[in-house]
Amino acid sequence: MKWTAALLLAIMVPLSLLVAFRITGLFHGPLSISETKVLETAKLEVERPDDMVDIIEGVNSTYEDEYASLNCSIFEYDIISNILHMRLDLSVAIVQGFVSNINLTFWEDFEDSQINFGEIWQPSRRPQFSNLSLGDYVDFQQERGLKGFIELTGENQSKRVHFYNFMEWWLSSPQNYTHQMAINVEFIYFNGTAYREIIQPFQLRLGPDSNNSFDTSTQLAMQDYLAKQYIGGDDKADYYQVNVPQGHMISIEAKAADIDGDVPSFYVLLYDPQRTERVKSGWDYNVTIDYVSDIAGDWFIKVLQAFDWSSGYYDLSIDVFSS
Amino acid sequence: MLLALMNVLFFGSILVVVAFFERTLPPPLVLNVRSPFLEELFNGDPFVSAFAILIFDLFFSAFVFVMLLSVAFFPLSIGFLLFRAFIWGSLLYSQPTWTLLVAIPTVILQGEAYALAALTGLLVGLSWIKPEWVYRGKSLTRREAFNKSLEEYRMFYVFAIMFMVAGAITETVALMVMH
Repeated sequence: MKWTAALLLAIMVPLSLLVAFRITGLFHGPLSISETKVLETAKLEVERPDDMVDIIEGVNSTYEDEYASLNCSIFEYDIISNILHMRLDLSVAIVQGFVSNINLTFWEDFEDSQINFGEIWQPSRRPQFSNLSLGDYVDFQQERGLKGFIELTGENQSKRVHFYNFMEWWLSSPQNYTHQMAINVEFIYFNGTAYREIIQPFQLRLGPDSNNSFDTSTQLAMQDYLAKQYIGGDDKADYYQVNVPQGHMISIEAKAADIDGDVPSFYVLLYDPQRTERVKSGWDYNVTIDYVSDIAGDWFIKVLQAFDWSSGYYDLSIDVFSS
Repeated sequence: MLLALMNVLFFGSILVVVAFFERTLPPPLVLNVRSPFLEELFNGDPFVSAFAILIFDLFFSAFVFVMLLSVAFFPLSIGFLLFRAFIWGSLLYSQPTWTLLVAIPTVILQGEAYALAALTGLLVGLSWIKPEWVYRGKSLTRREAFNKSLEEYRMFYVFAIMFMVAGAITETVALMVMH
C-alpha cells in the first residue's frame, strides 16, 4: 500500500499543482490578442496601362499611438508581360514589449491572377528582414479569394522590425479588365502586459478608364488636378468636362507624369458646350492652353494620343477663373 | 519505490519546466488553437490516428529511445525520461487552460508508460554493468544477471505497452475534442 500511495502522490501532486497554478492565474499561460485595431483602408488606384509601361506610383500609410508606430507602403513599378511588379515596405517600432508577428495576406476574386513572392529567391531582389524571420509563405494560389500569404515572426524580442520585399502580381487578364486586390498587413505585438493587433488594409485597383467619349467624360471642378491619367493601347483619348461661366479664363495644363519613363505625346483639344472644337494644341508631352469662354456651360477637354507608339501617363490640371 | 521516483522525476520535471518558462519567457500568443501533439499529422481517421500515435510513442519513444538505449547505458533512461518531460512541459506551457486539462489524462497514461520503460531500461541496463547493485548477495556473471533481469522485468514493459495503448486512445479522443 505504501508504494502505491507514493506512486499516486508522485503523479497527482505535480499535476495538481500545475492545474491549480494555471486555474488560479499563478501561471498565466498563453494570452490571446486583447485588442485589435483596424486602420482605414489605404487605397491605390491606377489606370491600367499597356504592357511594358512604367507605373511608378505608390501608397503609404503611417500610424502611431502611445504603444507603437507603423509605416507601410506599397509601390507599383511597371507592367511587363502582363505582370505588375511591386514592392512592399514595412517598418514597425514599439515603445515597450516586443514585436510578435506580422502576417500579410493577399486577396483577389479574379480566379486566374496570382501573386508571386518568387523574387524572394533572386539575389538582386532579396527581401530584407530586420529582426524578423520568415515563418511560412504561400503564393501562386490560382483560385478566387486568398492568393497568398507571408507569415513573419519577430526575433530576439525586438522593438523595431523592418520588412522589404519585391513581388509580382500576375494579372493574366485582358487590358480592359479591372483588378482589385486587398492586402491586409496584420501586426501583432506584446506591450508588456497584453498582445495587441493592428491591421492595415490596402486596396489596389488597376483598370482602364471609362472617359473615352463626350458622353462618358470625367467631370472636373473649376480648380482641379488629376494625376496619372493614361493614354495608349486601345485608350486613344480621354474626355473631361468642366462647367464654365461666360467670360472666364480656362487654363489647362497637361504634362507627362514622368519624363524619365514612358513619355506620352498628345494633343489637347478644347470644345465648347455644343461640342464644337475651339482650340487644338500642337502635339507635345507638355501642353498648355488658355482660352476665355464666350458662352456658359459644360466645356469639354480632350487629350488625344499623338502617335500609336507614344503612350504613358500624364497629369492634368485645370483652373477656371474670372478674366 | 523506484517507480515512484521515476514518476516524481517525470511529472515533477513537467511542473518545473512549465514554471521555468513562465518565469523566463513572455506569455506565448494564442493565434489559433491547434493540437500540441505531433501525432496530429496522422489525424483524420481515429483508428489510423490511434495506431500512428501508438507506433510513434511506443516503438520510437518508449522502446527505442527510453528503453533500448538505456539497456546499452543505464543513465540514458533518466536522461530520456527527463527529455520527454521537457517536451511535455514546453507543449503544456504554450497551451490554453482548457487544452491543458484535456491533455492531462494523456500525460498521466503516457508518463506512466515512460516511467515504466525507463525503470525497465535502468534495471536491465544496470544488471550487466553492475550485477551486484541489482542482485545483492548473489554472485552472478554479467550474462546471467542480464538474462535474469530481462526475465524479471519484462512484465514492466508489458505494463508500459498497456499504458501506451490506453494513452494512444486517450490522445486520439483528446485530439477529436480539440477539433
